[in-house]
Amino acid sequence: MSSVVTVSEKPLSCSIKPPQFLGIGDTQFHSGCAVIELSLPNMGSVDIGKITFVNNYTAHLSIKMKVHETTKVGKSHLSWKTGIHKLVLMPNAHCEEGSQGYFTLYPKDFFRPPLVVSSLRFVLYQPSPSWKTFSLEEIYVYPAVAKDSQTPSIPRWLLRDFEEMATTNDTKPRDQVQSEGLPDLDDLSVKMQQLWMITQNTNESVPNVDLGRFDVDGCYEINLLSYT
Amino acid sequence: MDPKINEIAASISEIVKKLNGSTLYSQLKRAAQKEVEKPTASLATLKTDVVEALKTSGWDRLLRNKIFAYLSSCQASLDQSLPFECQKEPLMYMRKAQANWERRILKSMNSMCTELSIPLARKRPPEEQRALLHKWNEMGTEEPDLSHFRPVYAPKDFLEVIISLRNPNYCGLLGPEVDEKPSGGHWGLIQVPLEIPKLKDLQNQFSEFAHGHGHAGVDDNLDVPSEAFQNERNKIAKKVLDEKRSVLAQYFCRNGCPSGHRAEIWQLALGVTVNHLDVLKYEQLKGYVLQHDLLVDSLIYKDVKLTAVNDDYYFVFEDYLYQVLLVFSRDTSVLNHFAQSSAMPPKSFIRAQKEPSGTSAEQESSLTEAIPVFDVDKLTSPNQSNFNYTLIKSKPTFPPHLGICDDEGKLGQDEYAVVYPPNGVIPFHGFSMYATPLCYLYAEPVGLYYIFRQFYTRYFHRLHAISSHPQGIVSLCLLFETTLQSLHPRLCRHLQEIGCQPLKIAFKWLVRAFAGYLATEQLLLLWDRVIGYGNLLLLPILAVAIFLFRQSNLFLITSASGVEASLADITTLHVVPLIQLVLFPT
Repeated sequence: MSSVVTVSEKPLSCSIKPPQFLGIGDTQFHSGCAVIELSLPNMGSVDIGKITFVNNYTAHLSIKMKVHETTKVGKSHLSWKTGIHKLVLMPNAHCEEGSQGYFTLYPKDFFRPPLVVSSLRFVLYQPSPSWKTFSLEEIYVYPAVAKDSQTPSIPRWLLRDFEEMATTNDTKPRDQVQSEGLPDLDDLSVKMQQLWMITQNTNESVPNVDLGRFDVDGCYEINLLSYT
Repeated sequence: MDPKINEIAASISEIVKKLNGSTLYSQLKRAAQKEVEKPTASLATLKTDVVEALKTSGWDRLLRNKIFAYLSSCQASLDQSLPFECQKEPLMYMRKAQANWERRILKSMNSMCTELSIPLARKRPPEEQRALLHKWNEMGTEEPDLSHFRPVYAPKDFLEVIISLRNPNYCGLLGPEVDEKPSGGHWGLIQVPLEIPKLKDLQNQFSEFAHGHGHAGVDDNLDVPSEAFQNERNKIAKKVLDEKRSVLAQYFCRNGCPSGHRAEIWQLALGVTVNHLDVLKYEQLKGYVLQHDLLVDSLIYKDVKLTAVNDDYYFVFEDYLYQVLLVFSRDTSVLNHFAQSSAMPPKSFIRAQKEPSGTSAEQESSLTEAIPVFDVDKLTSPNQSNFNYTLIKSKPTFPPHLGICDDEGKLGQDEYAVVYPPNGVIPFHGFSMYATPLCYLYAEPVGLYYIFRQFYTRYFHRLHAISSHPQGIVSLCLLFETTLQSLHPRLCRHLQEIGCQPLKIAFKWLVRAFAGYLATEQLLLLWDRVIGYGNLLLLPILAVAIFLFRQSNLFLITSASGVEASLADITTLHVVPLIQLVLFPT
């Protein structure tokens, strides 16, 4: 039985600190670099399946992750690893493209699989001085979930008949005995097939072409336009 | 995995979805069925045989053309997981600006309704329908009093909005404190930091304009007499038409079409076919025009009277234009283009819903004649609950089951929401000029209509919506200003010193894609290239070229109005050599 890794539909609840801009002392200058810390409280460590965010004028993004590592001695300790290095969010840092875009990162985008991560640091770069501020918004981390790939088991009542049928060579009389009072199964299945054909046909013939009507029940009497 | 592969997969499935249920799909199916029924069909090779037969009978070309048309009309399929409006326009301040602009248009429409006390839409009584049908081919002879109508907006108003666009997070090169000064970031009027192609990119993209390529519309090679060149082009045009492949036709357009074959080549390149179903659809839309009288119709009348009828080249097409533009306003398939545009179609709520059964004719007629009263002050409020929306005559006498909009009424109820006008496009001053030049090519209103619709939904809708799209009007304006500045800074400086912003003059050219400003043959040569390259970037390049070409004259002028006057008439200019002047100067 193999297991397939899928992404949970619910994002993890995590605490995200506002971006810390890199500076020297209290002086204000445009360093073009900021860090957002994201920690996953009460979770220990998680395997990340997906990260989504909305850009807000960040040109490049690096992600550092704090992961559990096991040394040769067998001791586990935490260490910072680079997950993503200078991913381009805005192709031209001076221009708008990508500045407010939606981004999704999958494990395949990372240098190393984002497994047993306990916290993340987003390092934001904006070399262009054209923008007053930059950050990332709506950061969501989705955990990876292992799911068994086994197909749902067939209920036993369905299997039983099957097994019984397999044991006897001539199933027909037995069937008839069992289905006394019911219409002939062969006859029924032929009709069912026809029914299936009809539904199939109607399904296929549903046009996706718009009929082009703009009125409601033949009425298109309007006085004013709506502002909403 | 390569993200490109995912994209391709997504667009393939999108196209398959669209093809499913289309006319071509059923035609292909029928052709395949016929193949199967042939006595020579054998089960073992059935699949390859059918595919081969469809290829030889020409169906695969039609399929390819259809797919090509889909690909060039819709760029990206929509991602379900992202907010819809963010995919239409990623930048929030652009979205807001467009929404405000739309609201302004709505207010203008609504106040016109209240001032003139006419509804946006009303059903025509049968006699009126008959009368309109009777004079369908000569609507221009009718001279309704349109003096009270005014265009909803003119390109000038739209330019003001575009000029005032600002990114709240942008501080320009000189720091945030110079925001108020117009010369903060860019020297020009457009202050939005969009990425625009550099001259080098443009040269790559429009490499066919380089010298050595033969172009219709320019006689620069003395070795080849122009007649021989014309004959050669005509021959190729015929070949392209025989091939029946959209890609070839589009590519052919890059060097200009010979006038005799232009109409067909454009149809092929844009994937426009007019079969009996399309004629039927056109007739259906015509029926819709007869059924309802819209306020937009008066705006269209007014616009045609103000523009095309006043134009020496185009006044003869007046009747055609009414037909095509009225039909266009009823075509709900035009709404599809809003998925790719930052604009939203205006919405309204129908005034009253007809009783499905048992409504007496008398009640119905009193219903349609009901005069609305609205509180004008409240109209300015965007809050819909403030609408005071009642029907004077009918309200007290109407039984409640009729579903009339009373104070709270049908407003806000989705099942009574309709798009207004049915195609979602409110015409502005000059809108009819998008269709007018095409009248030279298509003698039949039906063919004219479908080409115009394709032109509009592919290209022209971008010229009057605020967006960050690379083909959007904002990008085109910025491209114009930046290119002019980089090619001739001295001219720019001179113009600015005499108080003349070049964009104020060029904007009207851009918004109309030069329709009505250039001589017709030249305009068609320009639109050849719009189709050929599938984009509008040549419009600002031509605008730059016009300024450069007239530079010696412009340097002598010392007033803004003088500049405007000297560039008022550009009908003598030749498009192709001018574009070459900018892209590949010698």
